[in-house]
Amino acid sequence: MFLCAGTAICGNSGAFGIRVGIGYDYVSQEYFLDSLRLLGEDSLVGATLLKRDYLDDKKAILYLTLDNRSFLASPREYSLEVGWEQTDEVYRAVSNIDFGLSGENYRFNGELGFDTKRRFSGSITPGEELTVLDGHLKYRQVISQRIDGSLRIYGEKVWFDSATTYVYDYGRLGATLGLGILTADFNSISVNLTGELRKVPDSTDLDYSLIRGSLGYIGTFLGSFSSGNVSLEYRDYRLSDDFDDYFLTTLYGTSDWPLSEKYTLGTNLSLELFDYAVNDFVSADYFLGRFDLLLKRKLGNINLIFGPRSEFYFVDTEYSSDDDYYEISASAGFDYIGSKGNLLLLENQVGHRHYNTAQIYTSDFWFNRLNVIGSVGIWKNLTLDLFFSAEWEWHEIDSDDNRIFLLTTDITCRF
Amino acid sequence: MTDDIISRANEIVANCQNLRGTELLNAAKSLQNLAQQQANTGNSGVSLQLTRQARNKALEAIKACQQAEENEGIVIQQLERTDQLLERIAEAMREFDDRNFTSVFNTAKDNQRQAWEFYRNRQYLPALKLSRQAEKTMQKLAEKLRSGTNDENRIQHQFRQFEANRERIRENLSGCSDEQAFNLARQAQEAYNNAVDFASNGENERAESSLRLAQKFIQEAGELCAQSGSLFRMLEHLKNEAELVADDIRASGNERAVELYREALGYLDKAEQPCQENQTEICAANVRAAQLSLQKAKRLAGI
Repeated sequence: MFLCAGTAICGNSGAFGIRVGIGYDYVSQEYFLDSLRLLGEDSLVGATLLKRDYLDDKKAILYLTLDNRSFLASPREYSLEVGWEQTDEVYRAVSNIDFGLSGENYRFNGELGFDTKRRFSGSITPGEELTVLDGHLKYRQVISQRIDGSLRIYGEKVWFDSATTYVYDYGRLGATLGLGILTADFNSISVNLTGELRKVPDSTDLDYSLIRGSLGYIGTFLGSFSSGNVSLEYRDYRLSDDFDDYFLTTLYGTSDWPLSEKYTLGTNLSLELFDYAVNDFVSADYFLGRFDLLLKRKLGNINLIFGPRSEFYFVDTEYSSDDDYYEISASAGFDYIGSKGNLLLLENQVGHRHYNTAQIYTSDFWFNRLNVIGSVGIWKNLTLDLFFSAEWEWHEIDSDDNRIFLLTTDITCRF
Repeated sequence: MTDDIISRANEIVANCQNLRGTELLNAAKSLQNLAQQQANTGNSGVSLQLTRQARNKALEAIKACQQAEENEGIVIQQLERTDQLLERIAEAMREFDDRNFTSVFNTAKDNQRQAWEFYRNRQYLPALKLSRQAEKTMQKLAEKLRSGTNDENRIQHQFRQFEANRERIRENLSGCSDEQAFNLARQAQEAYNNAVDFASNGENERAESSLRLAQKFIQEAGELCAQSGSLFRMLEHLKNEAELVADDIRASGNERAVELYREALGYLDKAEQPCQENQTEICAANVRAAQLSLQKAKRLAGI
């Protein structure tokens, strides 16, 4: 992999900001195709390594920002940002406006974003050139000392220059009504109700409406610091006979239990339950659960984290072989968060996935998942940011092996 | 039925662009064509067998594309969750005027935008992974901001506590001319000023350390003044008591008691000046000696 490097002249930040830099983005998946195994003995092709690069761009970026909060203490605040990103074949223009208006008992804020991507060299692939306009408006009102209510309206419009059957223009419009409650112990409870409509001009089959209710909590729980969110969503497609419609129930929760001054026990729980109105060969009901138990050791600004992680999947299908599996892994990593913006998060996970029945297109496998997130100040306002994620799967049958890499690096300077 | 499945597989495989899926789908189509040819020639048994094989291949093609974690509903929820977290962190960074993590925030935001682009192109796997990474970064920043807020709250509490102590002790200090206490109070004020400087530079650990020192100094100064006040009161009390018991001790005829009584008076004399001049240690030693001598004299005299 190639990592770009560069220099820039840096100075002090102010109301007008410039962010300039270079970067490299790489997202790729590698897997094998064993025609003999998949297609039978008639096939003349053996195992072949296949590679799909979703993204492989060396880029230059320039962003200009105007932020009135830097020079004006005012209840009216705004920031404007315009940006340009360019590779040797593609450019992207971005702009963003956000504003806020605050009073004694209310806050009104909003954001409007514009993003367009064009190719000026090489051949265009469907879905590559697009324009996006999105934004939201939010009003929050303090109802009492401990309760506030909010209304958030959001929307998104996407235009593709070369729409196909599988890549299509669409628009979404939704609204969320929220209620925030602060308990006497300063724990926070939130209740939200969302309604959303999606319109796809070229395919009414893909239009949908959804309604989602959620309940969230952040605060102390039996001596731990916990956060959790449970939601129920119903999505209704404009298809006859409730085809593709579903109920989705999710539960996400994390807790940190202090064991001593230096040790903390962390638990993460994630449950997703899909219940389709019509359970068919594409839309099969399933349940996916994850549970982690992590021991955290504090060493100054560093947190060492290690422990087991698990994942369970149960699918209800009558159309093909049973895909149920469970996955167990050991995870180790550390977090470093410095006071001057330096940050390094590293996690490595080694484990095994076992399918309950023999699979045709895949097999049991060992895996290694590596995740690195870093941000390091190099000199004055010059910063190197790095996001790297890699997964290796070693299957019982070699030709099922799979690898995926994600890399984002930026060297940027703000002045 | 098989045609329906092949049609859906066609849509899904074209979308996911997975070559395993493409190969399986092509095989399904070939088998289905063969099945139709056999049906046309009247070989319904072979045709049925071939169409079943075609259906299985098409289903496997769909499965090759569809992993549980690539479900569109899950991906868009993940994207929205990360968006909301980005929004909250941006607000918190503004509120606390914390620009230290602007760079990593911007990169996470760029990645989230890229994740949306993958989603819009129905490339759910990279969309999910990029968005989860952005979410993880934001969660760490949230932790940092939360702990920063806790630091701020804790330090503010310590400042308030110190200032309250200083006010309380100031009363003792105003009536106290103990030189050592005065020096300690001055040192406490210097340490407090340093703490204010450190806190305003965001050097929370050094601010806390200076505050602890200031707290210690002001406490000691207060104790010294309180001690010096109580010693003076004790001196006055012993002098009064000595006057009251003087006749009884002489009348007891116990020479040792009289001798001790004289010693006690001597100590009280010696204590007078240091106590007035807030030489606490000399004052305390003489007051204590006078107290012991007087008690012993009283006991010997049978008082």
